[in-house]
Amino acid sequence: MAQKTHKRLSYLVKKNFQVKYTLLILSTLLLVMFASAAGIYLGMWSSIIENFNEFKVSQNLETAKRIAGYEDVRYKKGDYRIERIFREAELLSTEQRSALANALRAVNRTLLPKIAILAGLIFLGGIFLSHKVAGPMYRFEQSAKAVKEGNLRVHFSVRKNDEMKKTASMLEEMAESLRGDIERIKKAGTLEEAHRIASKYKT
Amino acid sequence: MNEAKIVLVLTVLASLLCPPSAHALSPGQEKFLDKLSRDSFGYFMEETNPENGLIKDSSRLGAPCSVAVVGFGLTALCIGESNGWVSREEAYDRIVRILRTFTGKVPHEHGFFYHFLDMRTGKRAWNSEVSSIDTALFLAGALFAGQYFKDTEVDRLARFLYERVDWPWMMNSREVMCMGWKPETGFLMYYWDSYSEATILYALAIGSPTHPIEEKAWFAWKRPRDLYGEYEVVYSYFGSIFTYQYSHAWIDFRNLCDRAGGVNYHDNSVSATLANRQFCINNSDKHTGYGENSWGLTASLGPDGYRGYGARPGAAINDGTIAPCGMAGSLIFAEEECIKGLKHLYEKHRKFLYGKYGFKDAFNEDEGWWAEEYLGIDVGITLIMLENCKRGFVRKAFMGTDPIKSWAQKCFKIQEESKNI
Repeated sequence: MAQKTHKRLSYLVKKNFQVKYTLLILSTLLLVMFASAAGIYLGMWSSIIENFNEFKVSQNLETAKRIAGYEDVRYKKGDYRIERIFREAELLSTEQRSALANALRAVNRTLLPKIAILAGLIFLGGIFLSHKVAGPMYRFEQSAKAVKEGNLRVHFSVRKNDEMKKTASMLEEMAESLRGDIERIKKAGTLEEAHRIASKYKT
Repeated sequence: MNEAKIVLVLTVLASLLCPPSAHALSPGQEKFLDKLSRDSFGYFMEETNPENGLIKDSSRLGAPCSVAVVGFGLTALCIGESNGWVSREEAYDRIVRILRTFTGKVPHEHGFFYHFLDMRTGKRAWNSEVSSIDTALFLAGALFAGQYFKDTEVDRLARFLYERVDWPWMMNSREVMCMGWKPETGFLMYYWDSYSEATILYALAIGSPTHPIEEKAWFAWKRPRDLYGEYEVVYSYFGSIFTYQYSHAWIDFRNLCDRAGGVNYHDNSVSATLANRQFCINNSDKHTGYGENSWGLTASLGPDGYRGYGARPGAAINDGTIAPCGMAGSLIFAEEECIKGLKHLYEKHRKFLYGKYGFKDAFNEDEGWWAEEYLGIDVGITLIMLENCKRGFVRKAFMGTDPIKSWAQKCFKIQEESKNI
C-alpha cells in the first residue's frame, strides 16, 4: 500500500510567532544594511567629492601636465607633444585610481568597526531572542522528563516575556488533567470505577 | 658657545667683512636685492604645511610637496634666521619639524625619497619615482642646516638621513648613477651620464662616510664641450642655465680643478652664463623679451607648460620665454649683468611679474603670457644665490662639511690660491 505523502498545507502554523520573528530578523538585517549604507556614504562620498569635484580635477590636470613637463626636461625627451599628452593622461588616471583606492580604503576603515559592532549586537540579540524560545523548550523537556518518571506535580510554566505561553498553558492543562485523573483513580472505590476513569485514554 | 658655533659665527662675520661681491652695489640695487631676498624667503614660510613642515612644489593650489624644494627650504630658513626675518627659535622649530617628518613619516627606499609627496600625509604622491637628484638636493639643504645648527637635533637628524642613504644601490651596478627607481618597474632607464646639475649628487655619494660610491663614478660621466662665440662650455643637454647653478648653490667650485680634464666648474658656469646672455642678445630680433638685460634661459613654465628652455651650447629650446630665476641663479657668476637684468625686469614688468614671493616664474612677451605662480625650486635658487652673492656663507658652511671635503680631495686638484679673497 502506497504511503500517503504528508504535504505541508500552511507555512504559517504559528502565525503570530512566525510573523514576530520574521519582523525581528528583517529589522536586524535592515539595520545592518542602513549602517553599511551610511558607512559607505560617509566614508566614500566625502572622499569622492573631495577627489572628483571639478576644481580638484582641474588641479590634478594641471599637476599631471606639470609632472609630465618635469619628466620631459629631466629625461631629455624634448618636445614630443603627443607623447606628453599620453603621459599626462596616464599620470591623471594613476592619480584618479589612487584617489578611488583611497576612497575605498576610507570606506573600509569606516565600515569595519561598524560591521564588528553590528556582528556583536546580532550575536547578543540572537542569544537573547533564541533564549526566549530555547528557555521554555528546555523547561518543557525537564518537566516532561519528570512526568515520565512519575512526578505529576511539575508545572509547565514560562517567564513573563518568553514565547510559547499557549503551549505552556496547554501542557499545564494536560498535566493538571493527568494529575486529576490519577488522583481520582487512586481514590476510586472499585476497579470498575477506576476503569471508567481510565477509559478516556486511548492506548 | 662651543667651538663649532664660534667657527660658524666667524664664517658669517668674515662673509660680512669680506663679501664675495665683486661689483659695488648702488643703494638702489642693494635695496632691491634685499627686497627680492626677503620676498623670496616668504615662499618657504607660507607655502608649507605647518603640521609637518612639507613645502609645496609650486604656489599653485593642489601642488604636491617636492623633496628638492624642501632642500631649498631648509637652506632658506637658515638664511632667514641669519637675516633676522625669522627668530632663531622659529627657524629651528620649523627645520626640526621637517627633519622629523622625513625621519619618521616619509617613506624611503634605501634612504632615497620619492620625488613628490602628499602635502598632508608625507606619503608618495603621483606615483612618482624614488629620485636620486631630488634626494641629493634635499640632503644638501639638510646638511647645511645641520652645519648651521651644529651639535643640535637638526645636526643629528641631518646626519642620520644622509648616512642612511645607500648610494651604491642607486648605481644599479653601472658606472654612473641612475636617476630613479619605482617599486612597480624597478630602476628607470635614465642615468646621470653627462654634465648636469647632478654634480652635487655625485659629491654627496662619493663623500658618504657610510655608503660611498667609488670615485671613478665622478670620472665616468661625459663632459661635452662646445663653443658659443668666445665662450667655451662643458655643457648640459638642454643648455638650461639652472644646470650650471644648482650644485653651486651649496658647493663652491672656485678653487676646485677637476681631475678629469682640468675643468673649473665655477669658471665653466661663468662661461655658460655669459653664453646664455649672448644667445639672448643674438636672438633679440626674434623674440621681444630677449636682450642684454633680459636673458637667462632655463627650465621654467611657459605658454605651453613646463619646458627645458636653454641656450647654446646645448639643445637651446626657446620660444621667447624668460624666467627671472635664470639671471638670479647666476648672480655669483656674472653679478653685474645679473643685477642689471633683474632690476630691469623689476622696473619694466613689476606689475605682471612681481608679487608677494618676488618674481613670478616666467613671462613671454611675444605671446603676452605671464606666469601666475611661483615654483619652489626657482624661488629657492634665487634666494640662495642672492645670499651667496651678498655674503657667501651658505657655500662657506657647506664646504666645511666632511663629505664635501672628502669628495673634493678625491676628485679635484685643490687650487691653493683662493679666488674668493
